[in-house]
Amino acid sequence: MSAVPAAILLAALAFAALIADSLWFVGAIVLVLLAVCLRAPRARRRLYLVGVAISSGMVFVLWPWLQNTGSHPLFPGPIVPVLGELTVTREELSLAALYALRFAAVGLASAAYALLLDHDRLLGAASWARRSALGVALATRLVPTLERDAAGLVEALRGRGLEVRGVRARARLLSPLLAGSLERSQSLAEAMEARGFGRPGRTRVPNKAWSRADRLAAAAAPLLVLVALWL
Amino acid sequence: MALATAERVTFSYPDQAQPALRDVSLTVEEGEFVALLGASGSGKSTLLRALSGLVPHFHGGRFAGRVVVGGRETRSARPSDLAGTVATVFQEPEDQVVLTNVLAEVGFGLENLGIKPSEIVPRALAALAAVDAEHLAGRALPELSGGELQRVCLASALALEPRLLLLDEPSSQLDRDDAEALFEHAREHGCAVVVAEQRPELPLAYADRVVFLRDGRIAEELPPAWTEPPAAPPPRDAAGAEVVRVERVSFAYPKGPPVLVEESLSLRRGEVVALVGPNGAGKTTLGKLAAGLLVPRAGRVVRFGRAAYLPQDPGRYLVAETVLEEVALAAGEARARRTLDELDLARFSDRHPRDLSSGERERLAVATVLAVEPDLLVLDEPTRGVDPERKRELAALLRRDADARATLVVTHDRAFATAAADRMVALGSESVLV
Amino acid sequence: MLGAAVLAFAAALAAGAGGESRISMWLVTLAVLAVAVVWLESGPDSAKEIALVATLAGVAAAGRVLFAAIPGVQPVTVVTLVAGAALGLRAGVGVGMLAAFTSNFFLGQGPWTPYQMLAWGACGAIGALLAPLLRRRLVLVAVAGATGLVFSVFMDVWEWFAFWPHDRESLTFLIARGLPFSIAHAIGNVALALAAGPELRRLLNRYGRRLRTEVVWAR
Repeated sequence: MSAVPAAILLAALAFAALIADSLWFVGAIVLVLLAVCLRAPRARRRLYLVGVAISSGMVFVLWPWLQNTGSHPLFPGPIVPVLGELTVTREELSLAALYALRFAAVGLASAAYALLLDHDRLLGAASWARRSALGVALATRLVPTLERDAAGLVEALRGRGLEVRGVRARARLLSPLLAGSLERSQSLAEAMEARGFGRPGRTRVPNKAWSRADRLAAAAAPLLVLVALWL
Repeated sequence: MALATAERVTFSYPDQAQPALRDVSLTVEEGEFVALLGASGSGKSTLLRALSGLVPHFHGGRFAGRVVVGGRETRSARPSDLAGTVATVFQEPEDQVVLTNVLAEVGFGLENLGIKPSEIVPRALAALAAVDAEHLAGRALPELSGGELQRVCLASALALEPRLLLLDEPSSQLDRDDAEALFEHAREHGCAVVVAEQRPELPLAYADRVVFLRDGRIAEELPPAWTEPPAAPPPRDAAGAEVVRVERVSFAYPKGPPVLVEESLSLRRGEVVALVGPNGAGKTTLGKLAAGLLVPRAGRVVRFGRAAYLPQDPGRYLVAETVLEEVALAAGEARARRTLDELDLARFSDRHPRDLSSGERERLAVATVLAVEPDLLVLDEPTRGVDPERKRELAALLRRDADARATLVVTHDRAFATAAADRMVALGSESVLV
Repeated sequence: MLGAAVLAFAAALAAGAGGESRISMWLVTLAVLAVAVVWLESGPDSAKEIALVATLAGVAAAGRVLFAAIPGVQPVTVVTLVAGAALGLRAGVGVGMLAAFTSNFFLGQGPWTPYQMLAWGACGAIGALLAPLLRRRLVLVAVAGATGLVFSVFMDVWEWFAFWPHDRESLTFLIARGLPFSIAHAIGNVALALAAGPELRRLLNRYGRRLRTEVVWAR
C-alpha cells in the first residue's frame, strides 16, 4: 500500500479510537493496529510495543484510583487527602480500560507509522507544504551526520589527551557542534542553489497511482470515523 | 563561440581585505577538460564558483569583471537560473545530498528545473547508469560509503544534462580507485569539465589543459613540486628506545566483522613510520589502538609515555574560540605559543579557528597535537586535501623533531609516505622500505 | 488550507460545546499547526534559510538524542530560544516545530508530537519576542529555566486532558509525578544556557548575517 492512503487509514483508526465510546470497538482497533505493527521487523518493533504497553498499562492501573464515579464498588479503599476516596468500582474499571485502550491505539498507530511507512514518499506527497517537507527531510538526514560529528569531536579531544566526562563537558561541545553544522548548512544551501532550488515552476516526481487497496483504505477512513462517532 | 568565459574578474568575499581573484581571465570550450590547480586559498574554488554564478550571488562580496556562461552573463543570471547549463559537484558528498532515497535525490535537481514529471524517473535512472550506480537506486543515502555517495552526487549533476560540469576537489575525501572512477565517468559524459584540485596526479592525467592559480592570479607555469614526486629523505639512524609495542591485537567494531586479526607493530623513539594499505584494511583502527583510543579484543598494547592522535579531516573538530586557546587546551599556554611560532601560525593567535582557511586549519590541527609533546604521535591521513607544496612542508616538519618521539602516519598516499617516513608498514606484513 | 483550518476551529468549538472536549483539543491543535505551517511556507524560497532551520533543528534533535539517557534534559528548548532570538520569529518557530517532529523520528513518534511541536514552536516565538532581553547571560539562563519548567508542565497538563479523568485529583497527581522531570528539565536548561548560551547566540548572529549577503558590483 502506498504511503498516503496508509497514513490516512492509520490516522483515521487512531482518531476513531479516541472518539468512540464503545469498549469493543476501541479494543478491535487496538487489535488491528497490533497486527499491523507485528509486520515490522522484530528488533525495531520491540521498543515501541514495550513503550506502548507500559504507558497504557499505567493508565489502566492508575485511573481507577483517581476517578470517583460509579456505584458498584469492587474494592473499598480509604479516603486519602488530595486524591479523595480510593474506591475502585466496576464502572471505573471499564472506563479505565477504555482510556488505556485509547492510549494504546494512538501509540500503536504512531508506532506503525514510524516502523512501516516511507517518510520520503509521504513528504513528497505534501505538495502544499513543500518547504516544510524539505525541512523535515533535511533535518532527518542530518541527525546521523551530526551524531557522527559529535563522536568525532569527542575522539579528537581524546586524541589530545582531554577526556570528555559529565554533562557539563558535553554541554560545552554543543557550541563547536553547532559551528561545524552551520558550516555544513552553508555548503548544503550552496549545493541546493546550484541544483536550481528556488526557480519558479518546479515539478514533482509523480506518485505511484493508487491501487485498489489504496482506494479502499482511503474510503474506509471517513467511514471509520463516522462509525466511531455513532458508537 | 566559447562555452564559458571569464574576463578580467576581480572578486573579494565580504569581510575579506584581500581579493580572492585578481584580474583572472579564462575561456572554456565545448567538451574541453580543464584542470584548475592551486593550493588552498589560491582562488581555484572561487573561480569555479564564478562560473556557476554562486560567486557573487550566493556569497556576496565585491565583483568586477564579466563571466558569461552559455550565452548568459552571471551579472543578471542567478545560480538557479544557470542550473541546467552548469552543474557542480562539491568536495564533501555528505553536505550536498538533501533527501534520503537515492533515486529521489537524483531527481531533486530535475524537479527544481521543472522537467516533466513523466521524464524525471527515466532521466534519473539513466544518470545513475552513466556512473555505474544503478544498483544503488533503491538504497538509502546514509548507508552508502563516501565513494558511492560522491557517485550519486555526480549522477545528480549529470542528470541535469549540463553543458559545463564543475568539480570542486571532488576526490579529496575519496581513495584512489573511487577518485579515478569519478574522473573517468566525468570525462565519458562528453560535456565540458572544469575541475579544481589540490592533488595534481589525476587532473594531469585527464585534462586537456591545465591552469595554475596562486594568490588569486593565473600563474605562468606549474611549479616543479606539483609535477615531480618528492625525493626520499636521507636515511637516518633512528634507534631509540621502544615507545609502543602492539602485540598480536585483534579488533572488531561492535556488530561488525573483524577488522584486525593478530597484527603486531613496534615503534621506536626517533623513527617515522608510515602505515599503508588499501581502504578498509584497518589502518585507522591500528593507529587508534596504538594511541590508546581503542581497546583491543585480543592481544595487548604496551606504551611508554603519552600518545596523541590526529583524526582525519581535523579542521572540522576545532572547539575553542581563539587559535591560541585551541592549542593551549591540552598543552598549556607556554607550549602553545612555542608551537604556533614553529608552525608560522602566531599571527592568528587571537583569531577564531573557523575563520582560517582550510590549509591554515590543517596546520592548526597539527599544532594542537604537536604542542602536547607526545611520546607517540599518530596522524591519520594528514594529506587529505593538501597540495604538494604543503605535503613537503609537513613531511619536513615531521622529520625535524622526529627524535623527540615516535611518529606513525596512516596514509594511502605513497608519495607522502616516501617523503616522510623511515620505513613503511603494509598492513598484514612488515616490509622495510628505504 | 486556511479554509480547512477555519473549519477545524469551528468544529472544535462545536465539539467543545457538545462536551467532547478531547476532540476539540485535537482539532484546535491541528488547526493551529496547520496555520503555522502555512505561515512558514509563505516565506521566500531561500535555500540558505531552509538549510539553516533544518540544520538547527537537526542539532537540537541530535542533542536531544545524545542526552536522551539523562531524563528531562532537552537541549531543544535552549537551541530554539537562541534560534528565535538570533534569527527571528519565522526561523525560531520553524526550528522548534521541526526539532520536535524530527527528534521524535528517532525517539518515538506518538500522540504527543503535535503538542511538543506547539510547545517548542512557542519557545522559538518567545525567543524571538524577547530577543533584545536575551542578550544578557542571566536573563537567558532565567528564561531557559522558566520555559523548561513550563514546557514540562504543559506536556503533563496535555496528558491529563487527553487521557485521564478531568478532575483535580488526576491533574495534581500527574503534575506531581512529572515534577522531578520538570525540575530536571529546568535545571538542564539552566546548565546548558550557562555553559553555552551566549556562545550559541554569538555563533548564530554571525551566520544570521551571512543569510543576507550583499553584492557590490564594480567595473
